[in-house]
Amino acid sequence: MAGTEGTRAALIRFLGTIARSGQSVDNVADDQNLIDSGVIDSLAMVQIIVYLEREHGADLLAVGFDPAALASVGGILKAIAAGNQ
Amino acid sequence: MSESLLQIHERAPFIAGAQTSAGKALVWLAGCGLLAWHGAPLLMLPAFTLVLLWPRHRRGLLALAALGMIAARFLPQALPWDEGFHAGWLRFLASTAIGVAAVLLMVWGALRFDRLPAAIRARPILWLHVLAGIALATGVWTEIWLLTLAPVLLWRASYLYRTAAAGRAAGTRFRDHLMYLMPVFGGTNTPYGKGLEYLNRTEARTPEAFARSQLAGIRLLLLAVALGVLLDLLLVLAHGQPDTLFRGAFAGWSPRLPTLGQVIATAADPRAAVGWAAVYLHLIVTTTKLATYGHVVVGALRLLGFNVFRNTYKPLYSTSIVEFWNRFYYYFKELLVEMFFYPAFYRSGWASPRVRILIAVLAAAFAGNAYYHLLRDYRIVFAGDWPAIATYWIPRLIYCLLLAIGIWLSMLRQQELRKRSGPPAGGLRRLRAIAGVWTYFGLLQVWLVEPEVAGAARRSGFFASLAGF
Repeated sequence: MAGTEGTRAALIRFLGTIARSGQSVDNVADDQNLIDSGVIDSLAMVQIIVYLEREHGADLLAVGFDPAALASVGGILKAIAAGNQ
Repeated sequence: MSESLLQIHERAPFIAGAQTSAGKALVWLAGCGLLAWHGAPLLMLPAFTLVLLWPRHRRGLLALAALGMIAARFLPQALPWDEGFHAGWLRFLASTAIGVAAVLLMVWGALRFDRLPAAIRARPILWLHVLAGIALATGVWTEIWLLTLAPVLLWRASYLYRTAAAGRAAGTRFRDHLMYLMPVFGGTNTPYGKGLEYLNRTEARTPEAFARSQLAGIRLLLLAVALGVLLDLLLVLAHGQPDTLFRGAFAGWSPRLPTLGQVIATAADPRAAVGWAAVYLHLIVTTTKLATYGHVVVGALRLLGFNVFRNTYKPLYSTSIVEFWNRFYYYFKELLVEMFFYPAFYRSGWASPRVRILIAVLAAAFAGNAYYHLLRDYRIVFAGDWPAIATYWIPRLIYCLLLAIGIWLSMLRQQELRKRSGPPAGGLRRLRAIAGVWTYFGLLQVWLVEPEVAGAARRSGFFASLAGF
């Protein structure tokens, strides 16, 4: 549980570095679509993919994740969990 | 007061008012008036009316309207009306029946995706485009009326099969997909509103959300009216164009500057100042035209209860190339990013981050962009007139390549800027950045602007003349 909380906190910190100017990620819900709500733009997902690959060793192609599934905090956490399996 | 009026979709009294009977009547009147003003598809008016009355049946109504759109596409075959029942009617009925059957078959395949052959399941979008390519190469596409549907359907079907391949079409119904495959709300070959997944996320599910969406739609349609008037004013004041809302008025004040297309079409280069004016004016005109058209389509979608993003959102305020690309033609950019950028990015994990982004950007802004226009302008390619093909395609490929390089460099720069914490640039630095973006995209248009008969040499000559050569 602590690991999951730590992973989420680290993810939120990272998302704060790629959020659009003037957008905060501190209070986003896990199921909130970050692109639809304007928190990040779709090209910033590149950095999310690189983050997942570098920080969590995720091979997204191998686990069949598509970018749309990485548009929410919950989706990214699922990808991290899938990569860890 | 003006702030309140501009933000009608955010103000509680307006949202509450739009949910009353009188409010709905006003929304209907305003919506119908604005849709008619903008020349929205004729079927949009009854579709909007029925969805306003029975929002729970929105998808079914829009699916029926989609079938109507297929029939409307073939209707010219039945003309002229005054000759009674003639062979054209049979062609119309047959084309419509086959068109409807083809679209239903396409959805049926997606809904039963797990029963398709393994090879197709592995690369469904590739197969879809291979089939389209075969239709093009064999001339079927150009010969049979039915397949005039294909350019419109192809990218929307790509979204459909992308959803199916991800296993997210399970539990959906025919009507869910029909409504966007032949959209009554309009659009180009680019799917405004993307596919079902995005429409799902943006669909109004409460009376309040529906009212908010419709008010946002009316606001956007009003903005489109204002932009149309401003555009006509610019055209008459800058270029002295007579075919505007203002007719001959104000034309006497105009310096009658040539448009970028006129400059490119003439053999002699203008003075550098006139050339630069043509470049910047063309950028403003192109952006305003696209924004106006996009606002009408997105406004229609919002009236129907899908509160989707705008297609164009203040691109001329962009301070970077990648920001402009994101804001200029959002649904085209999304198409390129989702169909080309991410697949290429995923598959190039072997490369360094910079090279990986370059590969993905080239896949989207260069290869994907060129491919999209190859499908759109297939007649030029398949006419077999090689000098005409070269004249048309070389400037476009140069455009795509320069666009891709610009986006790549801009993305790298934005990544560097994000690492440095601090407030966004303001004042003169911001203005300088905006001017840079205008100049970059203005100059890019030199390679894209009509006339199509102007080849790379002519465009290069004009390009050099801007620098005084």
